[in-house]
Amino acid sequence: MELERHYAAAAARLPGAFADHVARFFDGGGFPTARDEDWRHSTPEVLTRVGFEPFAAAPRTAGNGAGAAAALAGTAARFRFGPTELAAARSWVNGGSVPWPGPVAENRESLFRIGPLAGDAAVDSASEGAGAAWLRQPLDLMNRAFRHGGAEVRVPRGRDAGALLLFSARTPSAPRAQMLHPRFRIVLEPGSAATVVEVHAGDAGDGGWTNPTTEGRIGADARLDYLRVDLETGGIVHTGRSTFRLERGARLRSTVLALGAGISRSDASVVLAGEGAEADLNGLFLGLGQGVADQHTLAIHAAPRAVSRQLYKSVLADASCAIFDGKVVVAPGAVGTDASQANRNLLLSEEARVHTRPRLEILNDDVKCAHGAAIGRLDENALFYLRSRGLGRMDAREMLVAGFAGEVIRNLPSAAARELAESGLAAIRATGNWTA
Amino acid sequence: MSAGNGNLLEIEGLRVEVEGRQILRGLDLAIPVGTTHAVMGPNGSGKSTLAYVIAGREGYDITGGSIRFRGEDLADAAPEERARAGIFLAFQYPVEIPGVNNTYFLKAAVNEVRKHRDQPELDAMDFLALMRERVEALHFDPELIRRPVNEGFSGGEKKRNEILQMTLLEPTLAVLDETDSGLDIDALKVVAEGVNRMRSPERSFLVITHYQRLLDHIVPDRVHVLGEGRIVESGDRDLALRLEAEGYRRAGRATR
Repeated sequence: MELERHYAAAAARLPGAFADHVARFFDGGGFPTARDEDWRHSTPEVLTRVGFEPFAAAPRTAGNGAGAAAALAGTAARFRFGPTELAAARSWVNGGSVPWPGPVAENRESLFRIGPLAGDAAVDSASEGAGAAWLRQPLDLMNRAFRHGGAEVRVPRGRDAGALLLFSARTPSAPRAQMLHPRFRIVLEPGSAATVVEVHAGDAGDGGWTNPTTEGRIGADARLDYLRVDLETGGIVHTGRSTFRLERGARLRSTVLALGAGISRSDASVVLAGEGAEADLNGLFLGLGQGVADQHTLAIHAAPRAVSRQLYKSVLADASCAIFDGKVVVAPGAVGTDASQANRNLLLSEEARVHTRPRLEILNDDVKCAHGAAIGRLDENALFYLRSRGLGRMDAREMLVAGFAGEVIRNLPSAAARELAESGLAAIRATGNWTA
Repeated sequence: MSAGNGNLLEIEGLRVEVEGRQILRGLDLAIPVGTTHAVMGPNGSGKSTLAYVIAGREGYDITGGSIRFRGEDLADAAPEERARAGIFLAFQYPVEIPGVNNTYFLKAAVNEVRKHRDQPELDAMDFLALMRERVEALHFDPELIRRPVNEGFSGGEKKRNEILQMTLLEPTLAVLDETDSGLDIDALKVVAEGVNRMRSPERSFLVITHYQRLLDHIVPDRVHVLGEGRIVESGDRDLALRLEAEGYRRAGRATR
């Protein structure tokens, strides 16, 4: 009850009819608990220990210009984008827009149409025909109620727009734990192509909550390469989700990269709504310390002859924990479906843990589905093989770990992101106390 | 270079246990520098154990006797130390290593070994030139050097990759563990040519095989028969031909 009053009061300070959303949030059960099937291996109680405060509205945050720019420059430095790698970039600090400090290619900005989210996100999604599904997704509902920061991105028909960076950073919470709800919408018109790199970065100091939502539509024969990076530390609880709808012949490659040492929940969903659509859902978690990555996927095959491939991998050092809950749903009419799902986990310490649950729900006979999960330690045969060629024990281990993660890293859509992932591997190497 | 007696490898009274089972039971074997020795024997006689214990595999516990390489006892040497000192094992079952690029791996291994032999490390250009030359000599599919180590290779391709590694690492003692198994006759000839080209007065080979077929192509100086964990008979290459004709059962009776 206390939390309900807290969030109702917070919503009352926002413009618009947000009180209604917050009331519905608690009507629908409110925050998840460990008793929810969907959260049972995770630690959702971190979301209810305190009532998070929303960040101040955009104008005031933006007024704090110099501090915000400095905070952004600090985290942005971890990404070394080449001078022509990005066609456009947008960045936010604590939800307030701040210019991106890094390099951006000249004269390519106009390939994208980037603006504020049009209209009320809640109303828009209801009219999309998704019914009131978002009402049953409490954290998405909170995002709609408190959304702050974010953008709508549109790639016009037939255009190959190149790469766009969406960079959301936050500064340490003070004096109380704060929540941040950025929201992005990505629309690719038919026949267009783009790469979108979405980063959530920052240090909350003594805790905070980041709850971004990305929704998108990929038009017929359009191609989207989408990467979401969670780089948050300092006790931030990250709960992020993406949902893409693919039309006929559309292609999506979605990758979720979790490098933070905090608690990170991600939901990557795709609806293959058009015939022959194709989606890759990839994930990589490089776990350190007490880091938890709770990775969920959902691929809904609603049209014939669509393809979905899921590959989620985790490398776990220290006492980190990976959770994978992946699902493929094949509708009765989705004949000729080709779906695969793989979750592979490499344990480098005795304390590391993995929970994995690959699931298929198939409602017709004409499908090709494969799924599997593996949890293992470094292969002793492979270690001996490499050492018998002169490589030292530690070098051989590093080579095997890099090889394991490389399957995801080498397909990342940005050189800067690959470099960042390599630095994540270096951090794992630095733990050095591999017992496996 | 070698111990005073001219032996590159000297094994004396070697007893080895694997998971509590005694596999080698007092094995004696001396390989002079510059010679090629074959060890033959039936399945389960301890051939692969001999190969692994020379290469230093963990879990192969020496419970008696000794292995000396260039006069130095190997018992406490890690596999990588042996490799750097000049020992090479061509695996019977080469390991597939997903995600690790073959060229990257070979360059790292070659430079590690060169570093420890006081040779300058090769840069990318020099290494690729060396690699190209060795790949051509072995009729190795150049596509395979760009793939992950052994992943999806056929049996024959894996064995060629072993020999490719051997020609790049330039060991002084190469142990070939059933390198002929799984090879058709053309691949066998290519592999044998690769080995024969490397034979030199400074280098020794230990060829472990079940069949004498390989020894038609890699002609050994000495042939030893392994039975129940020790050498039961030794002779020149005619011994291999006799074993082929008579089988292993009669081997060693005369000497026992």
